[in-house]
Amino acid sequence: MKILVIEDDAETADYVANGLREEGHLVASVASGSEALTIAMEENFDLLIVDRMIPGLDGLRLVRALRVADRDMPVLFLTALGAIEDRVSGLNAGGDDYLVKPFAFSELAARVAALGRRPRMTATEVSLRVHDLELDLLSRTARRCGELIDLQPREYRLLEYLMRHAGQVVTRTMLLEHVWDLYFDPRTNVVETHVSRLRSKVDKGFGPELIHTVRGSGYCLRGPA
Amino acid sequence: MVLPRLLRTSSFRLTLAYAGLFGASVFILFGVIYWATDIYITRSLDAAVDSDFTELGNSLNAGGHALLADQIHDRLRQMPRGPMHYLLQDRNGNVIAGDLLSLDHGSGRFDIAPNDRGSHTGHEPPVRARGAALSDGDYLLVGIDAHSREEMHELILRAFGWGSAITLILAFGGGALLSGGLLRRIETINRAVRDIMAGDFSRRIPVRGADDEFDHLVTSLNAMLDRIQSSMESVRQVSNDIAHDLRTPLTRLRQRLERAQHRAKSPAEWQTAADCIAEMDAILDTFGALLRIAQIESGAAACHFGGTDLSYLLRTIAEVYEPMADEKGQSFKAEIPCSLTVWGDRELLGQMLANIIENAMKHSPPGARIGLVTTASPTEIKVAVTDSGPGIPAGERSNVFRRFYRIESSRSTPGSGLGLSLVEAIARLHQVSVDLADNDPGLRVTLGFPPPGSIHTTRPVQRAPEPID
Repeated sequence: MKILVIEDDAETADYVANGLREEGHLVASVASGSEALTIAMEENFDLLIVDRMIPGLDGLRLVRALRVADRDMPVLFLTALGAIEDRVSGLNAGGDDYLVKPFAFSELAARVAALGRRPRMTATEVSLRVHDLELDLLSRTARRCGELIDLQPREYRLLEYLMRHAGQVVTRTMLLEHVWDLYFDPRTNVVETHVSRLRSKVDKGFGPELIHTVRGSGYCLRGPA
Repeated sequence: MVLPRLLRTSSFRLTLAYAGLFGASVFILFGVIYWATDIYITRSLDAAVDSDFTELGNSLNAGGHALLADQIHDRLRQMPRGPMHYLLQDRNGNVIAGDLLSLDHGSGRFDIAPNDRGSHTGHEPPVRARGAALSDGDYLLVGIDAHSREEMHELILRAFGWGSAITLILAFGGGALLSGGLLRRIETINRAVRDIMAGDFSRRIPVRGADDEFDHLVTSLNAMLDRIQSSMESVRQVSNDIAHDLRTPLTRLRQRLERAQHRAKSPAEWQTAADCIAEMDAILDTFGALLRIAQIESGAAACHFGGTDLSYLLRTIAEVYEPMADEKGQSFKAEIPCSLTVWGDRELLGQMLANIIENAMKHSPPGARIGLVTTASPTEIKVAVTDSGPGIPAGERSNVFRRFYRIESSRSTPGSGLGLSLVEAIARLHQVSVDLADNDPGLRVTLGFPPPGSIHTTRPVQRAPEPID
């Protein structure tokens, strides 16, 4: 993916850029909003990572200006402004995701990966398949090796989210946000509980394990290599 | 419901008291006039009667009974319709002369009612009379029509009636007008205050420009609101400053720790870095929670409040936590009625409910019963989170909302001691009451949501200005 990092703190900018390069992305970084606007209008980026408090044009105005100019690449706000109304205004301005500093790099990497391969919702897409696990999007049922798996509605949505991001790491907060629409960090291991329940239905008694725990980051659903 | 409200206003009650006082004065005034006029007219009637009586007495002295009777006949012939009336009767009550009925009137001054005077038409006025026994035992009475006095009485009574009616109408009308005006002004203030409480902090109470007590009050209130708003903005500013000045170095610090972990040459090094990061994240959690409480208490979040589907939110929360309780060997029971809506922020409400439920689950042993029971009435929506754990001693209940407060028995369980402070801040912002009670055994936390619509603003709320980045 070709990513533009807009961040005025040099150390953070380097850290993010280098980390993403290690993940195999092509990364450019600029320190001011006006500079970012020029580059983003000239070149095609797959993703923008935007700090809100930057010199020149601030992050919100930058994203608004890009949206007005029909630049619809995904935007991830990476900012110190963490109040609810800050996130709301960020998403309203045209941001696709919002991550508050300080952040775990694994969280950023997971969100970047998820934004890069945003699911194209097409009418023709009727099923998802990973290895021998199949999800029928019309009847909202899951089968493994052709055998029907009995899922609760939320378990279905959890599995659907994991399958749409198959091969990517998804974090606990991403699951909480997208599966349950809850935006806070629970102090307890609620997400672990739900994933382990899902795992006992999807993986137990079948072939290779598909739902993997990625230590310190989250989960990944993928077929055997 | 406008009229009863009007009647309950203090200004209307004052008006009513004034109307009563005025009514009483009018009554006394008319009474005095009535009494004085009555005396005056009676006296002049008596004077007319006296002079005729004296004249007739002279005739009696000059010519005896015969002349007296003649005189009476003469006068009645000249003026058959009054105003003077006479009666001369002998000791047996036989009328010798006169136009009045023979009655045992006695001597002195008195009134003769129309019925007793031998009325012909029934419309004759009463007669004011003076009677006296003559030396030979006969009886002479001279009377005069008292219709002038009757008319005066009637006039005064009618004037009194009209006067009272007008006084009352003026008093009530004026009172209603006055109270209505006061009520309207108070209602304007009320409405503005409600809007402000609902999050429209830029709203001010309109000043009418009359420079009266109300304007002075409103000016003071507005000045107070300015002060509150500016201190709220400074809290916000401080939060932003903290956000920027503290988060940036913290971000770097965390990055360096992550890098150190990444480059670890031994599992021990890796673990040390991981522990540092975990410790750092715990600090950041506390820091984040404190900042969030400050931001919530500044009230800024109320700007994007909207109708929130509480039933859906509760079901989501129940779904999220039910398997967790199961895992801990606790039973979880939720009763959630359909289609309940409250005014607020979904994210904050979700956090509040989650904190309370996590609290209940964390402090209850395996086998405990956790309940999430919602009841709705037209006046209130109550959400009760119950557990059968150790509960909180009555004396400690008010302390648990204090920041970093942890009751002795829970110091061994992990937690920052900010969970319930956050709950309280969110509840206050939403005008939700939080009640801690004994669940016998365990704790019962009851959230009382105001009825939907009661904190609804009457006009669209303005968005808070975006922070200057």
